[in-house]
Amino acid sequence: MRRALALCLFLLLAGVARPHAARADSLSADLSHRLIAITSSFTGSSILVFGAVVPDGPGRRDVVIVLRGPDQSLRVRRKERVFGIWVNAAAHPFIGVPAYYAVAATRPLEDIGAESHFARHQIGLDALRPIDYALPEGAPPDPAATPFRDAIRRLKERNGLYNPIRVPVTFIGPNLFRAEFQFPSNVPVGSYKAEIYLFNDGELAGANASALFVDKTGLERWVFKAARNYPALYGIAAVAIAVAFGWGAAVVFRRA
Amino acid sequence: MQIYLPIAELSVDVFMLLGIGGAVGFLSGLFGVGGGFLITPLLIFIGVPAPVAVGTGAQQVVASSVSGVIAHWRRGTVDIPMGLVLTAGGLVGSGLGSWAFAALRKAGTVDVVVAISYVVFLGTIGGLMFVESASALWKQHRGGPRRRKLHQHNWVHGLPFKMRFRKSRLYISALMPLTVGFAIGVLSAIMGVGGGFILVPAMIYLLGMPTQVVIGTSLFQVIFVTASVTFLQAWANQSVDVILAMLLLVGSVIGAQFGTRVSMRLKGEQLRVLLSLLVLAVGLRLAVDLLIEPAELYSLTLIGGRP
Repeated sequence: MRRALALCLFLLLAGVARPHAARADSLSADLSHRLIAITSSFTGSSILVFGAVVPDGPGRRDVVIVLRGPDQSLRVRRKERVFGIWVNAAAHPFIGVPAYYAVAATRPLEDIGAESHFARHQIGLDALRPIDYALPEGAPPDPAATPFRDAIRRLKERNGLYNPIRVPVTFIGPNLFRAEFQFPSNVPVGSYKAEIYLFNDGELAGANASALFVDKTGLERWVFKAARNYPALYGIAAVAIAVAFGWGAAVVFRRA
Repeated sequence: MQIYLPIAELSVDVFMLLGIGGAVGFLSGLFGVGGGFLITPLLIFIGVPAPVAVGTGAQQVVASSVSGVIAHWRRGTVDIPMGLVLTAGGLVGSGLGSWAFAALRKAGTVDVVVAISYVVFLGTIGGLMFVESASALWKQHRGGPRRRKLHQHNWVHGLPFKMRFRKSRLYISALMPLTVGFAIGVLSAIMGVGGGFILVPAMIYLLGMPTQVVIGTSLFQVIFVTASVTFLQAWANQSVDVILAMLLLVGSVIGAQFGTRVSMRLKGEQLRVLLSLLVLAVGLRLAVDLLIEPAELYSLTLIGGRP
């Protein structure tokens, strides 16, 4: 016990006493909300990501913020002409598709010049690579899947779920930064992640991540849970409500 | 005023939903069709995911049909024995149709079959009805001979199990409405619609029922079909949005009452002309959708879940 304590103390002192191998920037960040609550009056929402950078040494600092939603598995279908009419023909499955994806940066991503980091951390829509589920693991990419993969991005952008607005990260003074992200009303529920990256002349100098939840509350949550957990009862209730409304209207109109 | 729909997962304008419900309910009360072939595309158009549009549309049609049937029943234009026989045939038919649908899906041809059968049926029925009712209306207008036989007698009247359908003024074999109900059950399961727009012409032309009674009786049968669709969709796919349905309902039950009133004032021939035009319009729209290259060829569906 004494020996263990001594060892700890020694390691701690050694760590403190060790001269700086490299200078390190300090990055801290947080979100304005941890929960986006969907109520009956929900028409979309926004969230503020803010933080501070204390640079250590020279170089141009860039902050890139990625906000990504829960992963989905999607089947992408393509319409083709069969006997002169347009019907769904080919389909391609993908996994690991973020339901929501937005990126904000101090400069256009291509100017920051950190392509290898972008590819590794899937920063930016160009770096987003949904996994082709039709391929066996480790197989070379299938060129036929490319238009299907492009369609995911195009359709999600149209729904406002991918990079709805090109948001910049703005600096307030030398250290503080902020970026505001928009959620459309069709934002999928689930757990989201905000990743904050700090680059120094295109080299990764720090990173930070925060979790965020989008969830239904109140009546919305109650109805959603009832439909999920008690589907048979929910179905009977749906029919009963419809019959009651129809009957009620007929009675009211007879009196009127 | 916007409201968030918990199952459809989007926010829409309340007054737009009331308006859509009202318009569809009006047509439903007027023609005795469920309106599923109108409400489902309208909901998809405003951004509701397709499975939710089908399930919720069915729930809305249950309400407008109940409202319409009660209004018709007070006026004595619902033939309940006829409705029950049609429903019995329809339940067996839709069971078989679901099985055929699964088989077609396995063969991978379901989309083509559904699309073509839709357009062919709507076009044929709408066209035939239009020619018949327009010529009847024209003859009446010229003041030609008004009296005609209620219906022609032929071999089908020799079939066994004869039943008296008082409201329809028919004494025919129960096998006839049973077969009609069965055939429509098969079609509606394959095509994913209640089948009111096929049932109404079939009752008029194949069974020889008076148009006014056809509407009330068709609505009666539609209640059972759409109630079972609502339950199955809620149970199997969790795709019925009661909040969305309730907003549509408020509009549609009121619309159905007005529709019923208008249908009482119109002559049978006039109703048939209007219904044939509606059927042709829907068929034409579908045909255009199928023939013209869509702007976006790709679509996304969630795997192992709802849209």
